[in-house]
Amino acid sequence: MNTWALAIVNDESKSAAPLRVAIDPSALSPGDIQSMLVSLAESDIKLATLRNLMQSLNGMYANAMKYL
Amino acid sequence: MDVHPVHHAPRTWRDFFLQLLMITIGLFIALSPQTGVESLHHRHLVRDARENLREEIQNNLKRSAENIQFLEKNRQQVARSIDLLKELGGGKTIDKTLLAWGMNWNGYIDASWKTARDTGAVSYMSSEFPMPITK
Repeated sequence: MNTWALAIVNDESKSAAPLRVAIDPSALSPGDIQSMLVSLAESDIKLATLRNLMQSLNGMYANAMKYL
Repeated sequence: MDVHPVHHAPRTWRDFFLQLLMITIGLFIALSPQTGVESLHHRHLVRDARENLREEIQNNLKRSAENIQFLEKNRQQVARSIDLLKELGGGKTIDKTLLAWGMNWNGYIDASWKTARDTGAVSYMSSEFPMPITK
């Protein structure tokens, strides 16, 4: 879970790379904008998956607490 | 453990069964305390593991609640940034400071779980005990 979350954090920071190069958003090319959009959409999907995994883990924890 | 046979062979069936009985009783006396000590050790191992796991899980549940908040905040930032980038692509001017996303993360702890697994405590627990996601 930690590895998964840190990978997302890492990917998200990469999404901002074109903006870092262009400095100003108005200087971004349509290709850069498209690339950032796709990258952010991917991050959003990964975040949604991570959330589902976290909920599953919480369920497992709740079961474990009953046993412990 | 060494078992030393008697110096002379049994001459009758009575001697044979007597020697067999003595060896059996001797082994029983020798092995019982060892088994008892091991059993006690396993009980302590499981008790300590349960206590540590309970504490670790409670800690992780708190972290999980915080992480879900961080994650939701991040998703909102990502969604807002996507909208802004779409507007930018449509020719609208946007403020750079509004384009921001990132996530805090409180790492889950698994030290107690790993200890319980490595010391073999998990194997002495019931098979009903749920196995956590380790990766």
